[in-house]
Amino acid sequence: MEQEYFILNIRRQNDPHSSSYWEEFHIPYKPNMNVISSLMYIQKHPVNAEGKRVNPVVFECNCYEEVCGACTMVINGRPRQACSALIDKFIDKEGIEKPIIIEPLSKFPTVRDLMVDRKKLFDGLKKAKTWIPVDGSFALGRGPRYDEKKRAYSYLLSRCMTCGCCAEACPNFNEKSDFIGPHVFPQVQRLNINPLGEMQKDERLKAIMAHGGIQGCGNAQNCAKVCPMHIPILKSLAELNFDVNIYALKKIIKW
Amino acid sequence: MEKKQKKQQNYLHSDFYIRRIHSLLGIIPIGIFLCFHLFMNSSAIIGVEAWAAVIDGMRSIPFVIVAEIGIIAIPFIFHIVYGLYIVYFSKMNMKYQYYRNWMFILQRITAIITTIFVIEHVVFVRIMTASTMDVMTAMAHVVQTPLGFVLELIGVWASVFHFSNGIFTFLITWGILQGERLQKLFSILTMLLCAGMFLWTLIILIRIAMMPI
Ligand code: HEM
Repeated sequence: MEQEYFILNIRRQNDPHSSSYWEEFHIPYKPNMNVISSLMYIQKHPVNAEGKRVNPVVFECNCYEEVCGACTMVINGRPRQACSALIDKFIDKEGIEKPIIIEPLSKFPTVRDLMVDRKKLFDGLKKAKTWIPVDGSFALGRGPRYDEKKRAYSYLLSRCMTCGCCAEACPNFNEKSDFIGPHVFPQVQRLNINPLGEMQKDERLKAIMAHGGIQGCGNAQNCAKVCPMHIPILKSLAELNFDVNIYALKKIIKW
Repeated sequence: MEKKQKKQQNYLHSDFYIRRIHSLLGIIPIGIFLCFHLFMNSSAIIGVEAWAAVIDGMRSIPFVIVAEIGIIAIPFIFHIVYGLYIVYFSKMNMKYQYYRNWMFILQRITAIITTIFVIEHVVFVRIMTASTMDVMTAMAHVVQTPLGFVLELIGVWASVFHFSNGIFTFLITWGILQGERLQKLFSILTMLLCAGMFLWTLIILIRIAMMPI
């Protein structure tokens, strides 16, 4: 008789300082499940594969439609959103006997089980000044018009949800290096081509040339491969490489 | 206090420039030297006399040591020392079976092989030789044993691969390969270059191995 449950093998951790351990769970199969609904099942029935009652697995989720990034985790070795990781697809591909391996993102401090603290991603965005300073004491009137081609490109860049998949897959984003991470560059480029943001272009270029900046990229290009939003990370990165080089040359000749 | 902080910031700012210099040195002069070096030694394909004549010619350039140190040794040492630092700071992950991830890993593996190979090559073929004959026998004796031939070939492959793939990443670092299709094209072209340089050197080494020295 065919097995009526599928298996989740989860890397768990009780608190930020303890070491991790693996725990298996059997989940009764139902059609159209995803990893989030499987984890929710575990919350309702926190019983591991050996039949022992355990603490339910902690995880984060929010939108259930792959736009918020909260449920990002490493599933079968690949960083992705748990909500769009469909159980039927794993079963079709590998069979129901093969455990689905679930781990927290490894490049960020684990809070508990699958919940991580992705603060480093936001630190990177802050360092690169990915905003447009328009606050003031009086109304500035209408902004300049947006070139349609730039707007269309900007839209592609704007779909980033800061989920951390790119940083997880990046070999140069790790605890040894201070590289701010691949996710920063599409956002810098998005604001640099914005007709208002353009005015602080040099400030952002200077920021991404500081320690840990764009020079930390080693062209492994994993970021673009794992990006769930298919953001043109490589294009924005190469464009920024060009811009920082020109900026540096300008600074040198005016030294 | 503020001054000190600013100074520190300026210092930290410099790693952008150091990384760009590292990148530039990979092509100018090291990459150009590599091409030049292979081209000069292609004379070995013609025969012993032609090869000896070229080595004689190189050795007789007045003050060649100045060029060797200024144009080759110093840039090389800079590229190697900072290169090893870059290798140390990356966390290679073979879990991601993507083509460019493999190239990234190979770029770092070949960096280490090339470091060993270049040191070996400079010590035995340049520093420990006193005449053209010495140079030729030093090379010939290595490639005339099967093990020596294979090790030499690994060293050569590492160098030409690192150089060819380096051209690709260099062009991204300098913001020239921006489009996806252009990157794909250059990805192929640089690997063709790698294969071409490797085969070319293979012929040189076979000819040297066959020489009656
Ligand atoms: C045949 C001699 C060599 C040549 C022609 C050469 C050339 C190059 C070139 C053109 C690049 C690309 C630069 C870029 O991506 O911007 C590069 C990168 C690199 N080289 Fe070399 N190199 C040589 C030897 C070495 C050695 C001996 C090391 C030893 C550590 C080394 C370490 C590196 C590293 C780590 C990178 C990657 C840099 C990055 O990803 O940003 N190279 N090399």
